[in-house]
Amino acid sequence: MEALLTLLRLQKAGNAEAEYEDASCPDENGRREGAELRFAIADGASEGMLSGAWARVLVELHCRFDWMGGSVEQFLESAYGDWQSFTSEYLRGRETRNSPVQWYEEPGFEVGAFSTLLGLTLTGRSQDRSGAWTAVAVGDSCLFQVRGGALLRKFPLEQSADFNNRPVLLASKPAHNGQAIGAVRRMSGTFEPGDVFYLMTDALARWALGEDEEGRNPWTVLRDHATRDGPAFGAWIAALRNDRELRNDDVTVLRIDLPGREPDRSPSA
Amino acid sequence: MSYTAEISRKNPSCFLFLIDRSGSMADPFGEDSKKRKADQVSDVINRLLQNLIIKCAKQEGVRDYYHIGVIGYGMQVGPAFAGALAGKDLVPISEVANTPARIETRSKKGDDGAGGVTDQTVKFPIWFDPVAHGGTPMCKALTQAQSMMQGWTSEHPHGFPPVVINISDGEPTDGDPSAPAESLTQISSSDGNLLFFNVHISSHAASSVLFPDNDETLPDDHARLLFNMSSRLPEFLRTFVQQEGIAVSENTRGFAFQADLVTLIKFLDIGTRPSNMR
Repeated sequence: MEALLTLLRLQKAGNAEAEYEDASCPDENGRREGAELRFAIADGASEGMLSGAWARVLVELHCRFDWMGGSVEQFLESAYGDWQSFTSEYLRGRETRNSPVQWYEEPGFEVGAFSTLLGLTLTGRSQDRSGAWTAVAVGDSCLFQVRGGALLRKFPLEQSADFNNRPVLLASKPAHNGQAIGAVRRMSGTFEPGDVFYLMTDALARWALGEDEEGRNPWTVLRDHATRDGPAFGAWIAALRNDRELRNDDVTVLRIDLPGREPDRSPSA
Repeated sequence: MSYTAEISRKNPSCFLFLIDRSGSMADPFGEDSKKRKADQVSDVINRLLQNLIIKCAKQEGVRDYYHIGVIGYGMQVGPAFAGALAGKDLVPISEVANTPARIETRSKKGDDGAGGVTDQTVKFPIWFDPVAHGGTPMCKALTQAQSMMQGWTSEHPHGFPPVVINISDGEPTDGDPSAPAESLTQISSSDGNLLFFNVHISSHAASSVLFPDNDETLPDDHARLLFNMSSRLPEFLRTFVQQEGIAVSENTRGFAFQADLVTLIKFLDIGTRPSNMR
């Protein structure tokens, strides 16, 4: 099985590039091949410390975790371990740089970081380029499966009205995750050659669902942008933000194109 | 729709605090005769600033989502910041964060993570110490606030409207403050009217009241005066207050008696707040 990956991302207007707090895995464009392909995006909450780093921990873990044999609780246990390693190194770095944690940072470090997670696994059958997908989600990052230019499946949110500013998210501290574990959603389906999957963080996902609900096909627009360069995507997002069609937030789109059917090589009659 | 403007470093909003530093603030606070009203005023302003700053904190810095001003009124009326910020009207919140006069440690009860309670020490930054001297020129303070906030909204015509919080015992000595308060609340940006809230610090023994919708349960005329000067909560704040378990109506006002308004800060919208974040 193979897939062509296109990653488009842009930080919130007014923020520096380094302040982007979404994450994706893989985090670069290109062709992927394998019997099983993993993809994930995550959206670190603007409230909370080091949310972008926590988002990165989650997407990277999703792409190597044994979901067949492991539970959500086991996934989180591994994530807490990765987080502990990251924060220890981060805090050592602060000491080395003589940049001690300030009083106003302490409550945030105490509470920890929060993030969405949306993970997709594609399992292919080599003979006909079709196969099965499974997805796992916490929060409001969304998966869309598009076939023949039309929306086929949407997960976990189904309507643009379902978005709000208070999603349940995965926390870096176990004490905050009771609600989140119960909020983990799973979905599965099948794919055909030529299908396109989009993984999107909330701002653009909300826009896309809204456009689809209004009968304006956003998938054509997104397909065109996914083939252009970064600046064009940035200008398009900036225009949507200026027109207040898009909430000013970090934007991440991971587009996964599956190749179409191979040409029929059977001898003509 | 009002009160929907984005609050960001590019589009900052503004908090202005008015703090009563008059001689009457030397009177006891509530039933607690060891604590003076002036002590409570400094506790309230320090706690509000602390919470506002924490709300804007990210790793390695505080983002300037707000500019902060503090007008003191007592012997004099004017900017009340001390130290490096002395004499300044409005300063970016990161500057306030980095220049407390000192940082005290206080103890508080906390969750020990195993279902029990443990004593924890927390840092409590101090910007303002108690002062109780002179009259209570509240009208003059409100007039000065009006001039500052008119300046702010003309520079930020489409920004989230400024929030002005007056912390006082409600005993002005320079006339009825209702008219200057009314003028203050008429200031607006394209996103809505300025929000004027009052925190009443009293010697009265009555129990605390938060976000009332009428003045009948308030213990005295001072409380009623401050309540009636306060802005009615806009719908988005009524929703948040209701989620905190407080009954609201269209007449609910931004007023606290013997309490603080830290609750309000929790609900300032500067992005995604996880619903499982306490």
